[in-house]
Amino acid sequence: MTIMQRKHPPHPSLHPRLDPRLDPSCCPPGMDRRGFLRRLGLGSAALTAGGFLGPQLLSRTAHAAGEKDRYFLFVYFEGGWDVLLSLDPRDPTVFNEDTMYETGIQPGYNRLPAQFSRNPVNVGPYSLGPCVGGLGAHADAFSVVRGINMGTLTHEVGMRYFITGRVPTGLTARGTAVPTLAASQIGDQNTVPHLAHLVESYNLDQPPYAAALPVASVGHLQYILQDSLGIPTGVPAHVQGALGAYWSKRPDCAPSAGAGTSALADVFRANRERAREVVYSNLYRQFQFDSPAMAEVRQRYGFAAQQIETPAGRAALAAQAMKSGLSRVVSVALGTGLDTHDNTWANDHSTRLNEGFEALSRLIGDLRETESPGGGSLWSKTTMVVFSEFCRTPRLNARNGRDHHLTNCALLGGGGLKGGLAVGASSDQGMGPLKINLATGRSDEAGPNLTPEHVLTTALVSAGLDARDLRSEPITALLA
Amino acid sequence: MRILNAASARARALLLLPALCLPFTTAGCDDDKGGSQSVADAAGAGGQGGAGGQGGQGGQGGEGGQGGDTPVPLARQTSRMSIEQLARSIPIATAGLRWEEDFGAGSVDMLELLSGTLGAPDYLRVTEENLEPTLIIAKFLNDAANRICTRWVTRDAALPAGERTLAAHPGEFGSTDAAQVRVAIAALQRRLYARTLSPDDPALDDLFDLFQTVAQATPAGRDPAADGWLALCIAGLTDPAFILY
Repeated sequence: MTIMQRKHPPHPSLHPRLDPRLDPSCCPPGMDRRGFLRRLGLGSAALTAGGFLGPQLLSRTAHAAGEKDRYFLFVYFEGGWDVLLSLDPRDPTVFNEDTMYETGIQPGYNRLPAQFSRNPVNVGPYSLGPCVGGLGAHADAFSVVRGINMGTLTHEVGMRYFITGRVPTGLTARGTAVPTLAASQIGDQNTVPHLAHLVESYNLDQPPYAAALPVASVGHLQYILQDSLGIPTGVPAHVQGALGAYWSKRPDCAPSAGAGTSALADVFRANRERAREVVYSNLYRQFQFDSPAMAEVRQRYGFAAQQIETPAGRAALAAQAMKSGLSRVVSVALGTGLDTHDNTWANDHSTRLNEGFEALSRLIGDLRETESPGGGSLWSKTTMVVFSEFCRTPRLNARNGRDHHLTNCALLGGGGLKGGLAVGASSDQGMGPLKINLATGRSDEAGPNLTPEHVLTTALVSAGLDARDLRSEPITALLA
Repeated sequence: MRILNAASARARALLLLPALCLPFTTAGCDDDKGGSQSVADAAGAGGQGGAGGQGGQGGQGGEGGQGGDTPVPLARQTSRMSIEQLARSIPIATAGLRWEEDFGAGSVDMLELLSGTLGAPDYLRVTEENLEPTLIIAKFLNDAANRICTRWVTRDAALPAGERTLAAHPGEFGSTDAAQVRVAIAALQRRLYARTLSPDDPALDDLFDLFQTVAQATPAGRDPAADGWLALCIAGLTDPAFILY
């Protein structure tokens, strides 16, 4: 059978943009497409996901459906982080090179550069590792999730699993990115509803506006936001005006118009219109990080005008995007180059991890001090997820580096979430993931293994967003 | 293999364009404009008649058995060109022009410079290209069109009639004669999208209106035809039919 002779039409979900339900003409009179989709989603989800979320959380989600004053911050540490140095430390008087053959855990704090503490840092209710920068100052603002079972040691798989909340098929992401899900629900009132820097994003079934605007470097954004990247175009105003009128016309439907009449073309036209809005917004001035006008931002984040492509510069990018009104959903990689299998671990991993957490700390501090347009701090309207694809082995290998390890951690913080908690745990024998009670957050053999789905569901539910696509339960112990 | 060269992409586009206008995907189309029947359509209808009985995409099953003079939709989804394909296609479509800028240290290929932002894989952090027609792709095409078309118009204005590739009609470059302009618009359709249309095809009316609107609004001291062709060029390169196939 050739493709020409297929008897059954492909299931719409194979290419959701081509799903006839997305056709505006199928919406009931008086209802816009998003309203129709929302109603459709609520209806179907009541049948499929009620068992996962329960009536209380379903009502919480429904209540939040009209909520717009929300921000979503998705922070990635690329390469697989060392949680012994950061989010899941161990006491070196108990776990050390004398006991490592029994415990399988070797913190290695004594091998770190001199600027780092030789001990975990007590931040009140729990301890953090020596390489978390100033994060401890905000320990009341977020909670640590430990003992997450990633089920993979492959970078792309772990990363795409945590971005989507679904185990990839091979290396291919199988679901929509969670920040995209968030952006689709938070709405399209901002110029760029979802901005992504060094974090992959996927949009399989959400409206076009929710897809991330990917920015390859901090310095690019100011140019992207300008017409022709700020280069004088030579296109006179009357030509631009006539083109605007031409683009607003309905497209030619003749069969010979070919790909220009496809559903994908409609997505392109919608994005072409948004691109014009971006240009007219003049927001680029908020992202000229090397300009004298941005000295205060550079000082707050601790970078020089020539050092914008750093974790600090990326944190400033995220903050400016949220504060300027450019985006309500930001995906950003603050830690990079963490995949250290050899003797670069002691110097490089610790330093890069520390830089990433220091940038994160300043970002949290900035959001806590900034008032949101709707009242209250920006932080109180933000949901933050910090993750890596997996962690590193609790013992050093023969090359004095650390390889990939299954048991992961994450940070969750912001409005709707309790701060100052550490839920879940890894074992004291080889740091395996321990099962937990989702209601208490404590280890419980009768409970489930924590997975990225739990973390992501908690984040979405805490923000009052619909998490039913993830088909998981939230860690209720963290919900405020 | 994901990344195709432009020639094969264009060849595929040429083969498949007639078949891509499927009923449920055309909700945004203006159905009032009829009358256009491309040469490619006719060839497709005749040549593909034997493949009747197909189901098409997304629920077109049961409408098979088409053949003879009726265009036959293919069961194929529309795709967006990759950055690699786009980089090869622009110089072909514009007879050698690229989006290049000189920031003081020599000419820079902007597609190459922005490839990461545009979603091209670097095989370090990004291993798979996002082929959605994203906002950044839409904006880039507009930015590229602004720059490329300005140069294309300048180049064409200096060439004799037979060598022009944008205003490809037999008259003077500055001509605003309707018949000549429509001949060149039809030629531009063929150059950019492999659409073969007659100069008097109603499908070209909107583009001709665009030319006329711009030409009539051109302030004194500027060439009305040059501004008209600039508008048509930008409209052409920013049309979804250019980047989708």
